[in-house]
Amino acid sequence: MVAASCLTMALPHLIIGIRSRGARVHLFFALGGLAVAWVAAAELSIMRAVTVPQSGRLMQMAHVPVALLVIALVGFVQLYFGTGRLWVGMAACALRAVCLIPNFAAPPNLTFREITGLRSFVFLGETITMPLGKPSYWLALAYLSSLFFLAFVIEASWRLWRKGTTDARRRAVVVGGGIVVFIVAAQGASILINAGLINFPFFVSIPFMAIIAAMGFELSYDVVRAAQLARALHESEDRMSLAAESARLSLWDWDIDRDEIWMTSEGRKLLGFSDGERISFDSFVRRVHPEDRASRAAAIRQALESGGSYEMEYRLLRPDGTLRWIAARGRAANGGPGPGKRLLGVSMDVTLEKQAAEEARQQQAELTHLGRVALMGEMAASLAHELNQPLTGIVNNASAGRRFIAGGRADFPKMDQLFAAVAADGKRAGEILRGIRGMVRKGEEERRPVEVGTVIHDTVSLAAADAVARHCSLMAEVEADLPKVEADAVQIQQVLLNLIINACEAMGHMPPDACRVTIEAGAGAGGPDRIRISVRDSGPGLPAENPQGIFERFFSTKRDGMGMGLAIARGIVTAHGGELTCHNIPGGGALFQFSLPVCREPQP
Amino acid sequence: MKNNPRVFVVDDDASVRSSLANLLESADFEVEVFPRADLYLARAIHPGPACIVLDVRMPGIDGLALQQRLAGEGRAEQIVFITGHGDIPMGIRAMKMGAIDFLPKPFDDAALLAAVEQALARSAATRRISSGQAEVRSRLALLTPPELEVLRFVISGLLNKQIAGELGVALRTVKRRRGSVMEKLGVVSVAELARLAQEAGVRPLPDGPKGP
Repeated sequence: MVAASCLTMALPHLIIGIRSRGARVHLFFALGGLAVAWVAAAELSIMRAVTVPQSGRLMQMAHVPVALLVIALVGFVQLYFGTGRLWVGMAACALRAVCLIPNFAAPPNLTFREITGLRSFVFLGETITMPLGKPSYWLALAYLSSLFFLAFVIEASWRLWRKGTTDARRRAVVVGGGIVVFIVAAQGASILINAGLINFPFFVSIPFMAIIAAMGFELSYDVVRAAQLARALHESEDRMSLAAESARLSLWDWDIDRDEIWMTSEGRKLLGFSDGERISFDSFVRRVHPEDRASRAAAIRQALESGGSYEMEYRLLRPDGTLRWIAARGRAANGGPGPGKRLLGVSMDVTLEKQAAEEARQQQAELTHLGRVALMGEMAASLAHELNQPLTGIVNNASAGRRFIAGGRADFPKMDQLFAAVAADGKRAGEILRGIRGMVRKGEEERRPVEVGTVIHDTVSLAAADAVARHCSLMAEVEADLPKVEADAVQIQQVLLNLIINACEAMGHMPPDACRVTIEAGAGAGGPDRIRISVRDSGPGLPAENPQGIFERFFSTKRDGMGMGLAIARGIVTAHGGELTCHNIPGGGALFQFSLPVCREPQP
Repeated sequence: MKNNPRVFVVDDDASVRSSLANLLESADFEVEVFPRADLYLARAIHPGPACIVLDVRMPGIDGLALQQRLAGEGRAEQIVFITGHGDIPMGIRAMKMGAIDFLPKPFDDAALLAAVEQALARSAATRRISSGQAEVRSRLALLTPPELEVLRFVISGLLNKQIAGELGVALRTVKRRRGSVMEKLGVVSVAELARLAQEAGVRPLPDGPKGP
């Protein structure tokens, strides 16, 4: 009966132990159960023995499962508690194993030096026999093993108890306490029986079964909990997949050794893999846009080498020819025991965000362009005036030439001088037109190395006519030998023109000789790798109330102003990594300032 | 010659300035150019007929301000405005102030030269009138105060007898002073005397003639 129940308890765990890696504790439990079953069978046979040699031989055999049991219990406690001192347990096992040598080498067995006879008595209505004899000296070895074993279990349990969690304490009491109580009981009983002090059959297997039951209870508890965990895990997986789906997240897991990528169905859909289709690293890469493959591979390699993570954006070129933007994040992970490395990751389809950002960028670019066109519109009168100057020169000189010819006074030096002047004026008109076209043209933003001095000079010559019309004098003070800056020249001109024209307008009601606008450029402020540019006027300064409001859209002090100029200017400066600031100068007037990044590579 | 008609070009734009000089020279005008209005003002007044070809929009003193200044000083230069972008109100203002013409750049050479000719002619006439005025003034200066008093009574239309009554002097005295005035001013008729006195700004007596 004991054997049967122990086998019943042992078998499932044997299966668990064999089938799942990392479940060796189940194997030890199964071994324990089998050993107890064996012990129980041996005890039954000893009780049925009729001759002295038979009883001795049977007892001899019974010591083998006891040794196995000790090994099983030590292994179980060690694995299950994880707190024992292994050497103490190993000592118990070793001593028990050594005990088997005299058990077989010095007959009749480990328990008796000599069996003198058999006692017969009636137990539960059945006549059973128990051997009688002189105890073996070697038995001390077995007791020592038991002591070591007890010490091992008590200490492991004590340490487990000290961990303080409910779970740990219950294990310590049920398993640890169980083992100690029943081992002491079994050992004590067998001492008393062997000494012939009590008439009782060997029922060592019963306390042992209790131990196995206690262990079984705990293990089953674990199995139940594992089932609960599995269910919880399943639910959490469901939630996770819902969340991932809603967030358009694809999860993936690349088993590098087997070169197999597990992926959520969302991810498969995104990449155009059918369910169940095997995904390898290469078949994944084939979906990546050719231009992005190298950078993606480099990021992954780096993450794997450093055991860290990577984050990047790349494009997918799907089999149907559509392009998707992916934001991916991956992390290298060691796949449990062994060298097997894995890469876990999340991919997100950010195509819509990319499109929205691109649209926003285009709108900003369009607004910037419109701002420039409006600015040119504001300056149209002045620009027409500016263009009329060289045209006047051309017409006058040509007319003069014709008159000299008509009057017969056309000499070569005179004609040469006239033609040279005509050519120069023609070029000048062309330059003015080029400047206007550059400002009005709808070009892509273009960052390139730019001479600050040239931009300022071009801007001043474009604004000069307007400034004269407003009785303002423009001054440019550019430090010598400034490094080039990385900027879009047209946009910087736009910012400067805006600031200059605003400054001129702000001084509209002042006496002509008091209207001065100074454009300065120099190294310094904002770090050594930035060039500072400022536009300073001698006007009334910024509005006292909310001076920063001037940067807001639709803020305008002009009757026909759109109120976009400064907002656009600030946007341009921000896009260049700077900040457009303004404040009043103590002596009167306003100062607008911003900075541009110096080119990284020195330009030849 | 020092008193020859001369054209002055005042424009801040170098190519406009030099091309105007070329054009004017091709039409046989004497030309002087100035990049700024204040530099022109710093020059001594040209004694002969003068025309300024003047840019409206300039840094510092602009064209309209220069025109105002010259008019205020009663100078004889006549102005032809040129402008890169003139609006109608600005043109009207300039013309009201006595400009000869208001030409948008670029302009026809004939139009400019015609305007310059006209300007020089008017400058010469103005100069003549003002030099006549100066002569009359110098002659008036020869009159004694009693003679000037008689002149003012005469141009208000009083008869000699009435003048004698007004002044409380003998008729003979009035006749002698009147004769002296006619002689000093070099006129033979009362009508001539009246025109001259008006030209020279001599006002009739403030309270005018008293009733008989």
